Amino acid sequence: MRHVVTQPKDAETKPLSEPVLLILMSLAEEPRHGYALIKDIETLSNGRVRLSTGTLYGALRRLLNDRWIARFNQEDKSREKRAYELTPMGRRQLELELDRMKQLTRTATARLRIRPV
Amino acid sequence: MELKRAYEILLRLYPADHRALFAAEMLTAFEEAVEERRERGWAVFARFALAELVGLVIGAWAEWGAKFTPVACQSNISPSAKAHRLLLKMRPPGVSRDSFYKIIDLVDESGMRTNLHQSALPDEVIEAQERILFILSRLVDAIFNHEFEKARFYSDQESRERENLRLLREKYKIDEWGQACLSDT
Repeated sequence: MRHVVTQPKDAETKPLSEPVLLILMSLAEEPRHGYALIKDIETLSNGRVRLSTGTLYGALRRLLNDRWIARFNQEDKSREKRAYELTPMGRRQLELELDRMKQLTRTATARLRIRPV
Repeated sequence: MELKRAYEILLRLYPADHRALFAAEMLTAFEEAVEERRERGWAVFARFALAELVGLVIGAWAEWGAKFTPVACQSNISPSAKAHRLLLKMRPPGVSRDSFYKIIDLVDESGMRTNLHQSALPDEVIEAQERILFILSRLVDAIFNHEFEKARFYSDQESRERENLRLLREKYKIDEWGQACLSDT
């Protein structure tokens, strides 16, 4: 039996979900562990998004599998508190997403100017 | 602390590999969050506790779904209304329909639900998985009602069903990642 784990062809062009985008944004600043991520995401979203640990670690597991994030090498390697950092691939995905959002914002702004409400 | 105990019981719903990687971290993050939320008042704390426990159940569901669905097969699988209906049935008592559906929507947004479609698997395996999910929903009910004896009973029942599922996987030569459809031949 052959195990094939391939990314969907459009993985790079798919918009990121909000939790994933916020996790990448948070890790873009500095490596963080689970609870620090939850707190920072709450701050980033002005208190609108509060990830549960279940949602957070589900997303972290997928991001680790995709190699968008990696375990951060820290001196304290206890299982209870591990930090994560953004990989170059994760940074690229975040940049792609920001470009996509910028393009959308530009288009929407231009259209709003044409037909003011 | 009952909440921590409930959290630890619900952590057992996750696949073993996920637990080995993240359980200790999840528990630490949860305990830190408990400390902080407790200071914000009873209402905030209750909402947080509920969201955490429901989030764990949905997270465990998504992890099992991801395990049973080979990534390379997903493009051939049509959306499964059955899996979605089953998820809706898992609403624990005391949780409003709106809040529960909102959480499911969050799961959908993060792309987890796509992993729940498993029509490539034999019916017997899908039924066994559904039985496990049904028992899990009862387990959650018991925990929400603080009936820990009952919770232990469902936990044992779930272990038996998992063993049954393991035997079925052997029978159909499906590995634990559910990737029989990817064989070379």
